[in-house]
Amino acid sequence: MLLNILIFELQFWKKRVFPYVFALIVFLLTILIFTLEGVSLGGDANYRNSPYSLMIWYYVLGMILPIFINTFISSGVTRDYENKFDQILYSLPVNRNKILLGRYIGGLIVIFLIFLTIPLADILSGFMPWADKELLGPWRWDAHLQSLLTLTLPNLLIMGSVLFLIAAWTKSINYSFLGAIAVVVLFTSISSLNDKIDNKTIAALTDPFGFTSIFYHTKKWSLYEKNHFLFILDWKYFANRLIWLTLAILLWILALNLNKFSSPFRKQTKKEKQTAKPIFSESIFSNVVMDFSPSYILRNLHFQAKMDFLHIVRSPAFIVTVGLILMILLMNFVGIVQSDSGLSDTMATTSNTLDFLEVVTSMINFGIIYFSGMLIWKERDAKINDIYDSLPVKTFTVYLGKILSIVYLVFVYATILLIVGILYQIFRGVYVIDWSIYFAELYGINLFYALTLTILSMFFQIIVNNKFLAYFLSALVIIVEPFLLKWLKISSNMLSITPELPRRITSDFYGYGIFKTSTIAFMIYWLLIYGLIGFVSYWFFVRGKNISWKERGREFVYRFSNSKMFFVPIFLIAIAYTGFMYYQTQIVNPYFGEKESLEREAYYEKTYRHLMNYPIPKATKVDYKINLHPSKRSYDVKCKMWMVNKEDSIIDKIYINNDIHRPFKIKFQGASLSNEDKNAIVNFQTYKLTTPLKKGDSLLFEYEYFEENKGVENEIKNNRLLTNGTFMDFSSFTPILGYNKDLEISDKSDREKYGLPTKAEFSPPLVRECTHACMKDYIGGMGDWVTIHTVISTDADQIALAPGKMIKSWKEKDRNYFEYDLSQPSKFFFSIVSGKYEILRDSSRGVQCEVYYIPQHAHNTKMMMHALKKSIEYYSDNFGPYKHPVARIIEFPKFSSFAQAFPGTMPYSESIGFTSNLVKNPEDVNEVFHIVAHEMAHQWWAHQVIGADMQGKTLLSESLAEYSSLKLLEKEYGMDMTAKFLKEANNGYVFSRAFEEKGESSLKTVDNQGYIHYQKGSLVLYAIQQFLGEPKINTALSNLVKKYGYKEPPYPNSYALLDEIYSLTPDSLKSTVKAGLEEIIIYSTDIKDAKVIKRVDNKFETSINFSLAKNSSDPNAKEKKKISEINIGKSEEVPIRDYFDLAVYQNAEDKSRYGKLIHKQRFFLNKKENKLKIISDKKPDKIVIDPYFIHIHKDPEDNIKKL
Amino acid sequence: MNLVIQNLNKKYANGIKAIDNVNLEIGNGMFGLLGPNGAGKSSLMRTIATLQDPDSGSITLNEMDIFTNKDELRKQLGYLPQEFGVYPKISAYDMLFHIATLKGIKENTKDLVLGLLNKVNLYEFRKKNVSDFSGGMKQRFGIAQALIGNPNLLIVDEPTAGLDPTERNRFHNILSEIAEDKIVILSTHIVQDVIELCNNMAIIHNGSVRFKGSPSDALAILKDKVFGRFVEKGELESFKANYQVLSEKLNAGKNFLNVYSEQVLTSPFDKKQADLEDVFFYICRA
Repeated sequence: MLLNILIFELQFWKKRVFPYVFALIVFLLTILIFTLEGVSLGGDANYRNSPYSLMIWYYVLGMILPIFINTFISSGVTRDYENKFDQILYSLPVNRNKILLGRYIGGLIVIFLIFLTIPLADILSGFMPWADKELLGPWRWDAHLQSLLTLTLPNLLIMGSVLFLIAAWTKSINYSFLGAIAVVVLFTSISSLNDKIDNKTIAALTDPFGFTSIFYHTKKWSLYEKNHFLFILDWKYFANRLIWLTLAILLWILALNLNKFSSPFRKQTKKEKQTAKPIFSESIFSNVVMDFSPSYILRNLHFQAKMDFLHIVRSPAFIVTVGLILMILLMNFVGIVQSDSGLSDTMATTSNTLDFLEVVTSMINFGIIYFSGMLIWKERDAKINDIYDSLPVKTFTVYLGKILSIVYLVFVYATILLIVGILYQIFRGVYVIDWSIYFAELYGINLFYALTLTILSMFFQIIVNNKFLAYFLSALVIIVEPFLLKWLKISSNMLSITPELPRRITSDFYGYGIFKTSTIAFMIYWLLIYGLIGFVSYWFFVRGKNISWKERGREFVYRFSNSKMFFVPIFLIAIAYTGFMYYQTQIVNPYFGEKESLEREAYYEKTYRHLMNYPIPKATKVDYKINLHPSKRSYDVKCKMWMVNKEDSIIDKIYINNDIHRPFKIKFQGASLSNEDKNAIVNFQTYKLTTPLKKGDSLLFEYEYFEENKGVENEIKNNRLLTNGTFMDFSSFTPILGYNKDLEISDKSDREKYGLPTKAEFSPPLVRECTHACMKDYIGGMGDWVTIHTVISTDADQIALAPGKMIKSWKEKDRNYFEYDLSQPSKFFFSIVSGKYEILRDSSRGVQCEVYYIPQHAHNTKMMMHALKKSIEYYSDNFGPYKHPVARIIEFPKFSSFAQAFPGTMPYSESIGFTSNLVKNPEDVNEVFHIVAHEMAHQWWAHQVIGADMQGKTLLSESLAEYSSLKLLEKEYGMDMTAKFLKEANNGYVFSRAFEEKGESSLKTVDNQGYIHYQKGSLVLYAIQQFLGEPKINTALSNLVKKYGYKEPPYPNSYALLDEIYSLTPDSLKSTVKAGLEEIIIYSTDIKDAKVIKRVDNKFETSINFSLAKNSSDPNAKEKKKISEINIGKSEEVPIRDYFDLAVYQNAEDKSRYGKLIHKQRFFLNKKENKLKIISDKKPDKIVIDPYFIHIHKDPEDNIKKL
Repeated sequence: MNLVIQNLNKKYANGIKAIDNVNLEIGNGMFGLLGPNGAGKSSLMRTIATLQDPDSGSITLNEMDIFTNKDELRKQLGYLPQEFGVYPKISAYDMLFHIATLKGIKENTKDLVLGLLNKVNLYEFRKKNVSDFSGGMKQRFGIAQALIGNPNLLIVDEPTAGLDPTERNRFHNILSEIAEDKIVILSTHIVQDVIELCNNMAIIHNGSVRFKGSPSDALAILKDKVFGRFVEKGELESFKANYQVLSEKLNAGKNFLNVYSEQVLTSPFDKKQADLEDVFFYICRA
């Protein structure tokens, strides 16, 4: 019986087109994913079909499983109801449950068969003529089988049951479809929220997809492991699947029982009470007033929109979307409030709140697509179309009314978001609400996107004339388009399907500022384009039974001639406007598209790379005259630069990277332009010196620069010159001399495509002999130590800042002028700033301390000032004197979220620090303090001692700055906060190294790898400090400043620091210190058990039993051309001979990391299995191995055990 | 009012010729369109109602081509399709009001809607959702909506299907009342409807018009040519083979055959007064 139904169901699907269409899509997508250039799931240095990539691919497809389930399973449940066959079917002597079960299993089999096209596609990928066989690994049937059985099948069963329940409950395929969307959104939300939960076990058990426990292992995987290993299934995975499968079975049983009752959406309405019946005269039928004047159209439009809107609002789908929106926002809110990142929280400013609200954008988009389809099919679904279509109503009022009703709907959504946003802000203690941004974003730009999406999805519905195919196409476009544009390397915002707008950055400094014009211009462009799509939709809008293309063609001719008088002018306007936009974005404001940029960059490198080491004179003294006009988006610069040849060789040519679109006017004393080449990414100019420069000879280099930004831009080119909060670094207005290797293509596959050699290492190798190789520092070769004098002017309401001390300021012609002087020779690395600032002033050790901020962001300025003063005190006491008369922190708009150190000046983004919420979790790591301390430390580590341009270059700057700030944090907040900081550093390091592709260096040879110079740097240097003690480290560091601070080249490299440290390290610790600096060691711990007993002497003895594994990776494992040879991240276990701390704590439940420290003891371990005891006076409730991170651990959580 | 259909043809994608060279001229009054299920009645009516374009041929209303003046025709049209549904959760009153607005009614819409509801005996149910109506109530609702705007051309497709005798009578009364100065086209497969209501009629079979004229013209075709008798079950087949059987009916449990014959048949056949049903069967069998 069951078998018969199952066979019948399979035969049913055999005759449908859907299984074949879906299978083809999955098959082709898989082939494309595996073979298309530039697409990769597991990273570039991964096989396209490595076990890890396969896992990701099955995971991604798992996300859209609900669509499969809805098509092949839910439809089996609702089929009879939709076809009104239910009454007949269920009157037959068949067991209803068996029918449903048979169909459910049949659908499962169909879906599973569709998924089997993935392994097939994997086999066939290698035969595709365009496939790069280097990128395809061996066919791993075991990996396919593992993913199919552990990712696809369980999720199919679980989600299948949930959707089956929804289908059985609602008896409607439309609601099942909605349910499918809801399940995707809900499951994804739970899954992503899980990432924020600190308790990994709970997270792993509650993830509805069951991926969390798998990702927990794979996210720390190295390249080697990703290419070779099957993913790990631990007990958490199986427990999770057991829980969810049980739930699925329960839902199943519920679904079977529910099916016996009638649908909640088909219930009866209540009886109305009767009222007295009026008397009707017959004349009303014959004397009706029918009005078909133009007002009829308007009335109908309004009426149609109203009715359609009410139709949406009354549908359960609407309630479901609103419920989901609120639920997602609530979960997001809970996630934010409860997240325990250990870092300080960001304030709920209006623009941050908009980011918070953005999580529901895709939900709303899917809602719009759904309701657009629902409205286009409204009459036909209700089967009232025969009546409706024979009414005298104009077709275009029906169409426009439907669009209008979605606009109303989006208004409702926007208002919900507005209310939630304001409540969120108030709840989080922010009472300054920026209404203009709310309205512009929610009711302006959101509405714009919603309107265009409505037109697009209705267009599909109308043209395709099949609801589900059109849904599929709409979803496909919004999902696939971004990848498509990236793949085609399309840069123009005019060429896409869904509208693209220039990137805009709103800020509390200026609101929309300079981004407004171009954004609005593009919105008008897209509205015109979508207006034309609207016309096409109208021409083919289905009315009556004319559904064949022949009939629709006739309708088209008729409607086209009817609408000509509107279409033609709009079409002409659209063409003219497109021309205008083309002129503005390509000719007035030209730019190089992505493809052209790459070609020009490749040409530049191929043609001029041989000039890399051609000598360049170095600047020693610079004089700038800068006039900023922020309100006009223009500025001009006059510069005089005195330069000296410091090289041994004679310089007879100077190469200049001049800008092609905005050229520098160059005036050289005694030099003439001999050649220029505009085919490169820059205009590469060659100046011939009439008298060549010998060593020690000097030269005056002069140039002028003028920049004016106007009209509409494809992307806002200069988003640093702002109406308020201008912040530009010197490279914006200073031409780079000599071959600029920053202009080389860095992306590996792009390099390959343009025939450039692979950049195996980005920096020259580290050498001990630091003479000739160390003549350049790593931040730029324009000068070694220069003095800068600047006169800068700006608009009357702004303050302008340049490097050094302010000499004087004055007003002239309603403009503000300032004169600055940087008299301490410093790195040629500075910025200029202009804005409407408030200033907080103080002083410390004779240094004038200043914080520049906008009035809205005063909250943390005192904390910044405090950190500034503390930094000056600790660093100058222990490292060496601070040489500038001023130390400034300057807030800048959030086009970037970093802080940066220039000599004596530290610009700091509004999005960090200035809007951090320090009040919420005072025990979290104080990021405001930390960042100021870090940037201030750069005044020593980078601006006094700077690494030579070779491997290890950032050890002397970033690692030392990070260490210094951590030490200061410890002084200010104690060891508990230090432990938190170290744990974050440990986790960040272990997580990021998994994505390393060019090879993980040791700290000594770090090559600009953030996770090594920041996270590992702070861990290792702080550990060494724990071993050697603070005084010894400070001795080493102050020696470094004495030897290399502000010294002419050769510049120091890693060995300078290593030598200082080694000279102070006792022999017993040498191997430990060396391991941190020169090796890659990661420990993993497994605590078997731990218990505490009270001894007779009233002391407490805590014993712990744990095993330890020490894994070492090769710091010389480098990127290989062939994936099969890659061994990055391959590790081997090595013997243990190390010191370990063991500590016990009390009051573990309070908000600090460990609780109150009772006792800490250091042990020397040389075995894998360890049994240790620690005695304390008080009763501990927690024991921690290596609490303060003298080593790096795979997962610090494994080191903690509650007693 | 004058509706002229000339050389109308329509073939569906599946190859079925739904309208096969139809020529009709229809004036004021009730016009019956009789034909078995699937004869093409609904296709023809949908075509007149501008829901479907023909492959060739023309239809004019008072010499206005309806395919190039769809909106004009729709302004004068009342149409009750054979099958229709309504939006869920909308009351009869709201739904009628909705349609009235779309039909261009600007003033006194409320009175009109209530009056119509009263006329079709749905006044008490005006606040009830149409989706919850019984078949007969829904059909009456359909009639009400078709009457909005006092249309010059009223097309009703199988209107009495599913109505009980009282409702059917009521409906016939409404139709005959309004048919005086306008065209009412009624399609049906129930012969009785035509007999009761129509002065003019056409019989359609397989898409083409097999007969047009008045019901009495139709009866004249079979004058003195219909004979009937009771037969045993076992004899049925041989009778079917030997005679041109028009219909076989059960009469008090026994089979009664109507046969067509040019010659006079003798006992046990009885000469029968031909009725429209016989004509219908005669034409549709031929």
